[in-house]
Amino acid sequence: MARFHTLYTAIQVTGPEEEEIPIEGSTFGGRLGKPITSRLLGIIGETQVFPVYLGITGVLSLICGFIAIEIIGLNFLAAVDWNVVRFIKMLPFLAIQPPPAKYGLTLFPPLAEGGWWLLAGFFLTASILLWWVRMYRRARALGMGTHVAWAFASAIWLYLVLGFIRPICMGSWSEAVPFGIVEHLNWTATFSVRYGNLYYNPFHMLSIVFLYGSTLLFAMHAGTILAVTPFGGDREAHEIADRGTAMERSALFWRWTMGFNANFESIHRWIYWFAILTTITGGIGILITGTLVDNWYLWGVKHGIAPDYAVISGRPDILPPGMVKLPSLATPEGFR
Amino acid sequence: MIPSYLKWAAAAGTVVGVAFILAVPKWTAPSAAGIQVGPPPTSMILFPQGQKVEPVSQLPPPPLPPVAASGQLSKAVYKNVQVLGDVDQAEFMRLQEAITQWVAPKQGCGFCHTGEDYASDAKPQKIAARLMLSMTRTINADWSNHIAPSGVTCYTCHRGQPIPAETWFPQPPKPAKPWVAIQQPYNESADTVRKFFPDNGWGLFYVGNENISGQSLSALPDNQVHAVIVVTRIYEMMMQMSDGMGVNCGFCHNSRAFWDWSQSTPQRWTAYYALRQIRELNNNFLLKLAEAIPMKRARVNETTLPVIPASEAGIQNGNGLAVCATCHYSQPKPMGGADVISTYPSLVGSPLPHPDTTAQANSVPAPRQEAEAK
Amino acid sequence: MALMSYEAKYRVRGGTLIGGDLFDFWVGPFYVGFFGVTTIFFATLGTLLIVYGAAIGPTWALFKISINPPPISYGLGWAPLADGGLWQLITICALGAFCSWALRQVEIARKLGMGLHVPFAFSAAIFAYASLVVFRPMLLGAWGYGFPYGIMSHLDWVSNVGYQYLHFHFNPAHMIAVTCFFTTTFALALHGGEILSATNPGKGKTLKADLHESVYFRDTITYSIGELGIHRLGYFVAINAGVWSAICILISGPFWTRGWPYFMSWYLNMPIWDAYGFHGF
Repeated sequence: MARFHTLYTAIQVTGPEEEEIPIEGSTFGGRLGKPITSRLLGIIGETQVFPVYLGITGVLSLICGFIAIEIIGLNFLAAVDWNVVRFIKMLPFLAIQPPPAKYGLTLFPPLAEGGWWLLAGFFLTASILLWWVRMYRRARALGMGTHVAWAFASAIWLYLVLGFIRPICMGSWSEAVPFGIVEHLNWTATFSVRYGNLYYNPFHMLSIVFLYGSTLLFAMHAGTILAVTPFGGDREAHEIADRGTAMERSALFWRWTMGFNANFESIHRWIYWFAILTTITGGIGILITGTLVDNWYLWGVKHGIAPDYAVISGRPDILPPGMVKLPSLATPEGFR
Repeated sequence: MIPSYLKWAAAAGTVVGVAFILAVPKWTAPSAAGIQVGPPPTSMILFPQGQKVEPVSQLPPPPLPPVAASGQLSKAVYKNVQVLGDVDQAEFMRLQEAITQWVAPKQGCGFCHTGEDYASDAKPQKIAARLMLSMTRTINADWSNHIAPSGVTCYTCHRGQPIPAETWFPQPPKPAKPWVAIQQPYNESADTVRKFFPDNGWGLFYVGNENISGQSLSALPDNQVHAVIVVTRIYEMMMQMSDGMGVNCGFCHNSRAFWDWSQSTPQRWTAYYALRQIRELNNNFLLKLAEAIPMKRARVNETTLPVIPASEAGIQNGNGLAVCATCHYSQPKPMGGADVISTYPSLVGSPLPHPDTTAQANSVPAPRQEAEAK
Repeated sequence: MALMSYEAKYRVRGGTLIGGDLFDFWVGPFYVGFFGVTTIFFATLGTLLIVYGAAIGPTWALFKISINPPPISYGLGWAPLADGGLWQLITICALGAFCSWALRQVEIARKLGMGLHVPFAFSAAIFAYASLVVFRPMLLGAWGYGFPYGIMSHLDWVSNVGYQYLHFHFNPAHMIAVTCFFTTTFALALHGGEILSATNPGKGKTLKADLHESVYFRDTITYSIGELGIHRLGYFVAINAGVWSAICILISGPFWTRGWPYFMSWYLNMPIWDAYGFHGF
C-alpha cells in the first residue's frame, strides 16, 4: 500500500510538460536543450532537466571559466610530466601559487612564479562576475526580484577580498590564496598562525555565528516544511500569498516552542540574511587582518577578552639565550 | 520508485566503502593514556598511545658487564687511536664490543676493520665511525640542557642498524620547467607522509640558521614585514618535529599565542637547545659524513646499504642528515628516557666553552678540535 | 494572551508523551507540557550554576568567564565542585535541558499533526554536543576532555584540540563536515533568495510561484530541484554537517592520535600507483 514519504518521492508522477515562459528582452542563443526526464533525480527533486538559457554573459562566463580551469589543469599535468596516473595521485597536492613577495603587485611576473596564478585568477574572476550578471538578468527577464543575485554578490565580496582587495591593501599578491586543494587549506592554517590566531578576530566570530546559524536555520526551516508537507507546506509562494493550514501549523509549532515565530515570507528573510551575513562579515574579517590588526590574540588582550590561564609549573625563569624577536623587513634569503 | 539495480549498487558501494574505511587506515583503539601538560581548559594534552610504530626496538640493550681497569691508556696500546686515546684500554675494548652490538650486530668487527690490521683506515666505515664517536662525545658533553640525564650512545640513533631508519635526505633539485607554475616540493615517491611533505623547513632550520619566528608581536601593524612563506616553512618543520617525537603542538605551546614563552611548557626550553644541537650535528658531522662515504641509495626510503661506486653517486649522497625522529623514533624521550650514558662514560667528551651568548645564539658553534686529531 | 488570529482552533488537548493532561497547557505563547517543566528546571539550574561558577572565578568580564572541566587526572569520576565538578553538573543540566526541549518539540508536533522532522534534526545537534562532552571523554577515560564553558576559553580549547592533530584540515570527516556547512549556507542563500525574488518581484509586477521558480533555476543552472526537493536537500545537508562534525571529533583522540596529515600514508601506498612504476621516481 503506497504511502506518502516526506524524505523521498515514492511514486513519481509524469504529466504534460510545463508551459515555457517566454523571455523578455533580447536573447543570445535562446534556450538550449530539450527537456529530459530523470527518474533518478525524481527520487528527491524534480524530474525535468533542461532547457537552459544560454545568453551572452553565460557563454562568455563559461569560456572564461574554461580558460581558468585549463590554465590550472594543464599546469598540473605539465608539473607531473603529463603522466595521467601521477596527475591523479598528486591532484590533491598540486597548486598554482601566487607570486612570491618580492614581486609585490606587479601584473606580469614570470609565468612560473605567479604569472599563471594571475592569469587564472583574472579569468576566474571574469567568469564569476559574468555569471553574476547572468543571475541578475535572468531574474529580471522572468519578472522576479534580484535577491539571488545580491546573495551571490555577498559571496563574490569574500572571494574578491581574499584574492584581490586584501592583497592590494597589503601590497603583495603573495598574501592571496593558491589554487590547489591541500594548498588552500595550508594557506588557511598559515594565515591564522601568522596573524595571531583568528579565533580572536571578532568578525571571524560573527561569520561563524552566521555559518552555524545558517545550518541551524536550514535544519529548522527544512524540517518544518517537511513536517507540514502533507498540508501543502512545500508550496511556499502560495502559502505566502494565501495562508493555509500548513503555514498556520508551522508558525504555531515555533510559537509554542520558543514564544515567537516567523511567517512563510519572513522565515525566508531570516535565512537569506543569515546566509549572506556569513560571507559579508567573513570578508570584513579577512580584510582587516594584516591591514588594521597584525596579531588578533594581542588585540584580544588589549581589549580585555583574553582569559587568563594558570601558569604552567616547572618553567625556567629566564628566556633561552637569543630569544629576542628580530624584526625583519624582507623575506629572508633562503625562503622561496 | 527506486530501481532495484540502484538499490543493489548503493548497498554494495556502502559495504565496500565501510570495509575500506575500517580496514585500510591504521586506526588506534580508545585508550585513557593521555597526559595533561597545560591547565585544564586549554586542552594541552600528550597522547603516548597510537604513535607511529617504528621499525626499531624502543628499549636499550642491557649494558655490557663492567670491566676492571687495565691501567693502560688505549693510545699506548693501539695504533691510530685519535678520539678515544685517553680511555683505559679495557674500557676501550668494552666500548668497541658495544659499538658492534649497537651499529653492526650482523656484520661484526669486519664492518669497520679490515683483516688483521685493526688500525687500518682502509674502510670508509672506519672513518665514519671516528666522526660518529666525536659527534656522540660532543652531544654528551655540550648539550646536557637537551639530553641530560639520559645521554646518548650510538644505539640512540642506530638501534642495531648500520644506517638509522629515520634520517633525512635533502631532495635533489627538480629539473627546471620554465613555463610551468612552480610546485611545492612534495616528494612523490615517498611511502610515508613524513618523507612526502616538502622539506624546505628542515633545510632552513636544521641545517641553516634561519630564525624560527614569523608572528608579529604587536596587535597593530608595526611596519615590519613578516612574509607568510616564513610561517609556512616553520609550520612544516614543526609538524615533522612533532610527529617525529610522537607529540603534538600542545606539548610545548598554547596555540592562541605560539610565540609567548609565558604560556609555553618547560619542554619548549628543551626543544630550543635541541634545535641548536641538530644544527651543529648536521653542519659539523653529518655533512662531512656524506662526503666521506659517497653512497647512493637506490630509493629514498631504503635503509639497507647498497654501496654504489662514487662515479655513479649523484647529488644525493648516501648518508642522510639528522632530524628529531632520528633519535626520538616517535617518543617524547628516546627509549622512554632511559639512562644509557652512565654505563659508558667514555662516550662523554670534555665540554667545550660553548658559545651561548645572545649574539651567537643562532649561529653554529665552531667544530670542536679533538686533542688527538690530525 | 498573545494569540495569533488563527490560533484558537489549534489549541486542543492531546499529543503528549508523558503526563497526559496534567501539563497540557500554555503560558502566554509558550506550550508547557511535562517536558516544558523539565526544561525550565534544568535550564534554570544550569544557568544559576554557570553564574555561581563565574562568581567563584577570577573575573566577571563576559568574554573571560570560564567554567572549566576537571583535570584529566580525575578520570571518569566526580570532581570537587571548584575543580571541575561544577562543569560536570552544568553538563548534566545542559543535556537534560536539550533533551527536554527536543521531546517538548515532539509533543508540540504531535499536537499539531505534524511530522517529527524538527526534533529529529535537533537530536542530531544534541548528538554532536554529547559527542563532545560525553562520548569522546568516555572513550578517552576522563571528563577533562570536554570543552570549557566560556566564550573565549571554548575557542582556545578548539584551537588547541585542532593543533593536537597538527593540521586538523586533513581529518577526512572534518572535510566532509566543512563541505556540508558551506553547502548548506550556499543552498540556504539560493532558497531564501529564490522565494523572496518570486514573492517580491518589484513594484507593479505579479507575484510569481512554482513555475517561475523552476524556470529561473533551469534557465541559469539547467536544473531546478523544486520546492519540496530543496527542503529535502537542505534538511539532509544540514543534519550531515552536524553528524560529520560529531564523527570528526569522535575519531580524533579515541581512534587517531597522530597528526591528521600523517593519516594519509595509506593513500601514498595504494598499489595502483605502484603498478605504473613511478613509485621509484
